[in-house]
Amino acid sequence: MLGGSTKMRCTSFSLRENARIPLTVPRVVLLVLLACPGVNVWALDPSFLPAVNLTTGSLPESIAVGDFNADGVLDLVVANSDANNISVFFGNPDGTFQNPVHYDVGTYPWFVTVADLNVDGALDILVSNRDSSDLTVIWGLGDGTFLVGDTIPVGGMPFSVAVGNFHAGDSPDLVVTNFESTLLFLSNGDGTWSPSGALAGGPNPQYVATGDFNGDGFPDLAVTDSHGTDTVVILAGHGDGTFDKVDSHAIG
Amino acid sequence: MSDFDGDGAQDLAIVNSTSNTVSFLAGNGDGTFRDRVDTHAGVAPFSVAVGDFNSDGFPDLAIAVAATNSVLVFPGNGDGTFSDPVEFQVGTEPHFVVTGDFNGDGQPDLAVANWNSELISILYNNTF
Repeated sequence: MLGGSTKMRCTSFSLRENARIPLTVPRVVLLVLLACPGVNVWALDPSFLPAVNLTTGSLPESIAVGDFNADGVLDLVVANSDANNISVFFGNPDGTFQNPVHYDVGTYPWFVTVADLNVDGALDILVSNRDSSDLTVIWGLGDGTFLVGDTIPVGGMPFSVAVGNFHAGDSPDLVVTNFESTLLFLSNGDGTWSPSGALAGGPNPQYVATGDFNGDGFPDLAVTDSHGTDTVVILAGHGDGTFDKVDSHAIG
Repeated sequence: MSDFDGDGAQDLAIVNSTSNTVSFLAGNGDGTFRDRVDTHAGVAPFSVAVGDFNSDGFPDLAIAVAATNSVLVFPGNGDGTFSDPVEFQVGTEPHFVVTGDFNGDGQPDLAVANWNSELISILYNNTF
């Protein structure tokens, strides 16, 4: 049965071959919506239950999702910026979360990234610390336990991190924005990274994301600039640690 | 980032907190992007998560809006445009939103960091 607040919308485009209608939709819904004028496909408004709140540390700035204990259920890690720690919430199969486990990191942790940084099959956590100007590496052991590792000095206010194989080698490299530069850190293959220079971008880079935008098999970068020129810059990667700026758009 | 217009190329969605908009840049597949289309997201949007929240096969956007203590969900139409948002209340000054299927029911849920309240909010998707 539909919830009391469920709304439906008629859409105005034709059925696409890849549109899915979940098998759980009651048949009465299908009949009502197919009556929409001139419409071959429909969509429900997204609906969410009222928020369930969990207590974390002071001034939580960001969250990342991952299965840290390999039990098939998603867990959360929260950066508590004013508490100088992160909280890991293990998920239960019913969607609830366990009481958090805390790990001390640098000063004003405001961004958290999840990736397998040492290619051991277990997710690790990278914490960007605004006021100690560094990244804290937290190694996941795959069973839900963690080992707080070294810090990576960055400078400025380290914020967003993109993880990818930007250079030859099996271990992923890092690109970090710090509101001053977009910085490349190449993996040494042993759980450490070496600063490898600044990439092209705006004067105040904020967010960086990676993806293969040009379909050449090498990861590229998109970097947003916050208070400088308000642009997003696209850097095409060549798989050898070098990038070329290939596009730029004004935003906001 | 996701393929919002179904043409196989990666697109970008960017929140702009000073202009209260979300910019959508359609990828051309060669590393360049077409000019942006803006959607007004409300006051001071901070963070965006991408997921198919209404299970219609097209990626949607969930945006944390600090000034209204809420998350706005913009359903994607699959052609690069987005429909009017639906709003969900969370804690005080949400700064970050991420998505994941936390209860394993096949529908993506949301987790929100509420900066000024020492709370994270979990929104379980009940579209179906």
